Amino acid sequence: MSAQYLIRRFLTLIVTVVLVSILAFAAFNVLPGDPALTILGVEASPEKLAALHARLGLDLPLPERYLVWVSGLLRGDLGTSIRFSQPVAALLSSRLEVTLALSFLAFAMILVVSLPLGLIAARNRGRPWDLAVGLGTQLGMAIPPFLLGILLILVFSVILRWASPAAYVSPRESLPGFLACLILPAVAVAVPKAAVVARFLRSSLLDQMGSDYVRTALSKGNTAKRAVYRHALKNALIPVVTVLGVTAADIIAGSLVVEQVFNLPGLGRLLVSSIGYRDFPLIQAMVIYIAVAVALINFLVDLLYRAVDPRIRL
Amino acid sequence: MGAKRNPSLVAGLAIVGILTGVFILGFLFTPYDANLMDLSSRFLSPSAAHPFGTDNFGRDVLSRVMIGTRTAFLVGLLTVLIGGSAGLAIGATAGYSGGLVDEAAMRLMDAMMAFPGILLALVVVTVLGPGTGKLILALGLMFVPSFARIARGGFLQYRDREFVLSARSWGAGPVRIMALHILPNAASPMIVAASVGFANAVIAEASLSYLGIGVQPPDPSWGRMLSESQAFLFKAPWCTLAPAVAIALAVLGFNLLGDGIRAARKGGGQ
Repeated sequence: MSAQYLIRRFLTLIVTVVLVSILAFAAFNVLPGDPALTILGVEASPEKLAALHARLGLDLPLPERYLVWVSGLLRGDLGTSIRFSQPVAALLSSRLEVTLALSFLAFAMILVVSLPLGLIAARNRGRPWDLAVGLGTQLGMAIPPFLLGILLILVFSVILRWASPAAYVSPRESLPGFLACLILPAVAVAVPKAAVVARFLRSSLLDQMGSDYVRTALSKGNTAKRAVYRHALKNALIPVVTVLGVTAADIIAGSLVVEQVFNLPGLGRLLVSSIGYRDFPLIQAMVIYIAVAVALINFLVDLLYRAVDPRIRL
Repeated sequence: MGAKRNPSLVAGLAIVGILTGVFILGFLFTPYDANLMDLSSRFLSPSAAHPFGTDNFGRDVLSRVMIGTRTAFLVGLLTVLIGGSAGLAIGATAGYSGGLVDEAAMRLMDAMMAFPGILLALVVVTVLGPGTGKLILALGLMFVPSFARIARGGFLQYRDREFVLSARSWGAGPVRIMALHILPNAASPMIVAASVGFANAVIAEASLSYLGIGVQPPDPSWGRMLSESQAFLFKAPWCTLAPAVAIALAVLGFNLLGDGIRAARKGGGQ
């Protein structure tokens, strides 16, 4: 990886993050509607309105408000929640662990499930195993995470009576218990994305298996198995890295929704319940942090992509 | 094209065809009034009178699923229309112009893509308040970057081809070249994206309505039916299963249709 590429990619990251912050700021400040008015209601007295304007910094001109907000973000000052009257940072940190653990667990499941499925399908192209994976992944993609979550509760808790649906265990209480209560939610988040990745690996592998170097490997007397594992798979995995990067945003989005299904006290629950309270500082902080996290993940994936494929030099 | 050569297309067309029939039928006729409450017939299990049973207010689940189809399709169509046309305009201009315009447009799209779709919709609903119209606007916005990227790829690929150069040499302007010469060639990935986008719109509408920030009561939506029925999952599982099957079928149908069109454009089956 050349230093020049690294610098260029880093600059685009900065540009993206700045644009992300402007978009997030604009969404809450430029769109019609006065947050103070929404918070207080239409019949609010002018004095109260002015006081809240000053408290939210709404009396400053737009560019100044943006700078105040961004410099606060950089210092780790996310403002004060209107609903809880507490610093936003403190509110987020206790919820973050749930969402992060759920997302990582789901990501691990996606890897463990999708890679073997994609391999099996590609190695048995056109045969029953391939068709089964093709059908199964189509179904997997057709059931969105929150719906799969509900169906899992139906099957495991109501019909099989295994786990009680609303039993959240904090990691400080019991780490194994915490992870156990995240398994079903993680499955719900993981299945639709695992289906996408498996299908992508299958077609990527089939592309590679039709190429000249695999034919050469076979003609030299390699078994089909060896040709796949030693030659085709490595190259087929390169584009899969990109797809996994794009999946990151979907995993986080899926986690936010699935928390609601399983009653998990994560960022998603906080976000959705804050909307009813018009807690603008809280929502704005969550939105910008998630978006920056996604931009960062995509940046790292791009670097990884260059690292695993020495042919790509731009 | 036989079912053997392109099973995705045939299955996708069949499912989408049936759902479109239900969608149109929903405007003309439903077995019962979807919002009619009848407390004497609460939680009836499926029967001849109520094929999908009744819910906690004694409302007919089949009628509610049918009206839900209407909601899902309207949201899907308008969302794809908004996202597709805005994405096409941005992507076509970026791909055809290249240079600084391209760079600026794509950076903006990157930034939009960093907001997970649901989050973007959450922001719009937080600021503007809930409602079906605002939901459509939010989802349309969410689809702009993916359509823009696909359109850009197509226009970039064709802008230096001979037929474009020849059109330019006759004095055709950029808008004419983009609309009449390049678009027909670059359209098929957009059509595939529209079909898959429709499936994603169905998922997004259902998810947001499930969270209570999409379609508002009393209008039935598949997602809201699911959140309402979760409380009595054990007592009346049909209230959950009917909208669940509807969502899965719609997503499956449009995904298969997209796959089928892609395969057909490549020539023959898979």
